[in-house]
This record gives sequence, structure tokens and C-alpha cells, in this order.
Amino acid sequence: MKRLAVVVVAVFVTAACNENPVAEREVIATVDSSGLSPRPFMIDNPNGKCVVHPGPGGSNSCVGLQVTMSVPVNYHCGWNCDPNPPQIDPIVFRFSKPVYGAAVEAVGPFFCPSPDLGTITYYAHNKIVEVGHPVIEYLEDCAPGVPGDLIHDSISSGRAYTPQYLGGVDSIVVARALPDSFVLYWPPFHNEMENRDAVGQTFATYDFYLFVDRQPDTNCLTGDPILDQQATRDFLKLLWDSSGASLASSLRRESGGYLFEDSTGAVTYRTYFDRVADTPCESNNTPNPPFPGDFIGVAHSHPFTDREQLPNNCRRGPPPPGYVRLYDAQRYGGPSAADIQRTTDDNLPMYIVDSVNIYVMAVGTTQANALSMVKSYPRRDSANACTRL
Amino acid sequence: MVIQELMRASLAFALSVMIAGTADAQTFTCAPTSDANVVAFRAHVVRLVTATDTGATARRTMYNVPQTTAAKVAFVARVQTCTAAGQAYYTALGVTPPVGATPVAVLKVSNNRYVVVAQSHREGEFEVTVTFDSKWKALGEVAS
Repeated sequence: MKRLAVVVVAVFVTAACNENPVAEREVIATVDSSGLSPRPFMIDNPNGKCVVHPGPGGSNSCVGLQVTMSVPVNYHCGWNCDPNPPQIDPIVFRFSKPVYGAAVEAVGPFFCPSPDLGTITYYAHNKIVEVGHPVIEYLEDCAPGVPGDLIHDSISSGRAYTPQYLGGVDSIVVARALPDSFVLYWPPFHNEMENRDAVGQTFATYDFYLFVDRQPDTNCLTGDPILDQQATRDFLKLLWDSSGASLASSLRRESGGYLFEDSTGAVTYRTYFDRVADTPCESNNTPNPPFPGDFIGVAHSHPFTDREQLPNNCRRGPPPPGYVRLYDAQRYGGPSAADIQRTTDDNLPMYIVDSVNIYVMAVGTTQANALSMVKSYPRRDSANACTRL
Repeated sequence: MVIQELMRASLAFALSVMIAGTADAQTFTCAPTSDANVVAFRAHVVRLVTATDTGATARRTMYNVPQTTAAKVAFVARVQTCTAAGQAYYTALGVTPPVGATPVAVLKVSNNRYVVVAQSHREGEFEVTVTFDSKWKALGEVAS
């Protein structure tokens, strides 16, 4: 499983300020999360970043890439900014491919007695899925005596938020802490007269620690982020067990359903059986609302074994005497010709289970490229001595 | 007079039958060999006849095709042969062919096998490939 820490650096500069109204606008910083080439990027922070959602095999290290983003000078400066105008609107970090568990760390001075440390808003499927309030992380300057902090000066540096949402995030909106500029407090044992009226200057670095794929929560991993969820395994087992695969072939039924991402970002599923329309060789699989979340995949069973004889109720017409029809699971690597069309129509990855394998078909698969696109994973993996279903 | 009317009516009926017959005709064409799916179909058959792995024999038996070389797998472009293949194909499936021109992909393998598929036709969720001998006797039927 790839893990990626993306560090997005945004530098904010404020100077002595006057209060000015600002025009509403947002800065959009697009992160090409699909084109990142992972490189070793060790996170040894004791806060355990990159273990936002620790699963089996999780560790305190990340493999990632450092990305530096540029944003306008003065951004989040509220008053008396130089150069003008002040800019206080939220920044939208938009990812080209959904990212997971994106913890945000804002490093830079802010007015630490403030109750408002800003907000981190997470969007998925074009809606808000979580609003986080950062907490002071380290270099607590509101009280002396903290290691690394020598003076009591109202300035702190380091606030962070770790999301609970488990699903893929499309964008993150960072709103500033308030006040965005402030008068420094210097204790009298320093040069009070010289520094009393100094204005807090802000520059902030935003570090995002995130995963490019959903973290697995099961074993016998495949590398497919949806198949490596226990909910998906449970779903495929349910579909298989519902197919009557141990019965005479004419009594079996393809069983289908859809995978969803619920409001917490977790994978869930619904079956859509139609025992009138379903046959051993076709499932209607029409989803009916209400849906438990956003669609992330479609799945069904092929209750057969490669090269097995198909029953006559798989035929549209009566077979001439002596004719038999056999099932070729390898022609398109597992899916059927109609499956390939459906994954295009649904624009969703497809998961198929037969008696031996689980097949994963990505969007973009065609009859011509199926053999290279479709991935196959044995239900019982003798090579790795583990069982998936 | 009555006879003339009857003759006119008979002629009109005969013409209507002829026109209807023309509109309902079931014809076959050779699927274009430039079509990516048709190209993939030939690649599939080439894999079948040239494979040397342990499962190859069983799969060739399933399709009833011989082991041979890729050069012995050729598209049929002669419309008469594609028509015969289409008729044999739908007879083997036990269904009436669709009205109008239906493209069928026909591969000749060696000198005594035709492997045929109508990729627009589905049975359940599967397309069906049928192998025939040179006299259009079905030898193997595979759903995929």
C-alpha cells in the first residue's frame, strides 16, 4: 500500500496592519495527487502523523513527496498589510485525486490565547464531510517553560488537526485563525518599552500528511484499496453465499449489489437481488434508493468455475440436441463482455467473485484491453498462505 | 370486372408480401477487421491455438480448435462465407437472427475450422463464440 505524505507549504506574510474590508475571493491551490512520485519521506514526529488511521501494518513512517505551493503574499493578513490589499479568505487545496486521512499541520506564529485557531474543512463528493478545529500542537508560547520556548509573548507556533473521516477527500479548505494580526505581549523582564506595541507577524507553513489510497483494514492484501476493506470482503462473501453455487447449475443465481462510502467515509454495501429477473448467468442489479452513501463500486457473482458447463436457462433459445455451452472465465480475464460495458456505463470499478478468484476491473477497461486491465486474486492464496474469501 | 379487381388485389397483396419480406430480411456482414473488439477476438483465438502452457490443451478442447500457428488464423472477408457463418451461428444458438444486417466476426483456423462470434449478441451477460467445421457443423460453444 502506497503511503504518501504531501507537504504543502504556504507562506503568509503580514506586517503592521490597518483594518480594511476585503473582497470575497478564494485562492485555489491544486495539488496533483495523482502524479506524485513517492520518495522516502520519514515522519518521526511523536504525534504519530501518517498513522492517522492505523491499520494492520501501519507505522510511523511515510513514503511521500514534498510539494511546495505558492500563495499570494499577505494571505490571511487582516489589517495594515504591506503590500496591500489584505487577504483573509480561506484557501482551497484541491486534490486531483482523492486523498485519505489528510492531517493538517499549520506551522507559524499565531495569537495563542485566541479561542479561534481557524478551521479545516474537508470535502468529499462535492459536500462537506468534516469540519475540524486545530489544536495547539507544540511550541506553546502562551506559558513559559515549555521546551523550545523561552519567552512568554502571546505567540505560538504549531497547530494541527487530524480528521476522523475515513473516505477519499477531494479538497481541504483552510480558514485563518483569529485575530490575524495582534499586538505582542512581552513580559517586563524583557525589554518591555521597546516591544510593547509590536504587531504579530504571521507566516505559516501548512503541512499535509496523507495517504493516496484508503488504508487497508483486513489481511491477505491485494493492493486494491477497496478490495482490501473488510466490508468489501464481507460483501463478496455474501454475494457468493447467496448464489447457491453448491446447487445444480440451473438453480444458481448471479447476485449483485453496490459498494458505497458512507457519511463517515467507511465502505458499506447493499445487495440488489431480483430473484425473478436474475438467472445463473445474469443479475439485474438495479440499485434502489435510499442509498447508504456515495457509489464507489459495483459487484456481483459468477456462480461457476472456469470451463464449467452452463445450464440451459442461461440460453435465449433451446439448444439443438447434443449442444452444450461452456464458461470461459479467461476470455476477458474474469469479467464478461456485458460486465465491461457496465463498468463503463456506471463509471465505477467492478468486483466479481467466481468459485476460484476475485476479479477487479477498473474504469476504462475495454474488450480490447481487458486482459491487461483486469486484476485477478485467488480467494485462497496459496502463494501467500492466506484466505480472502 | 370482378376478375380484374381480384387480380389487382392479388397483385397488391403479393407486392406487400415482397416488400415486407425485404424489410424483415436477416442478412449478415463480415465484421470490420479494423474494429478493436474484432482485433481482440482474433488475438484471443491466436492465443488459444498457439498457447503451450499446461491449461492450453483443455482450453483448445473447449473451443475445439487445433494447435497451430498465428499465421493459420485469418479473418474471413467473403460475404457469402460470413452469411453462411451467421446462419449457422444463430442455428447453433437456437434463436432467430435479428432483423437487418448483423455483423459477424469469422476466423478461419487452419483449413477445417471457423470460429464465429456476433459481438452484439448476448445470452445472459455473455457473448457466445461458436466453432464450426468446414461444413458448418457446430463443434464447440463457449460463453465469455
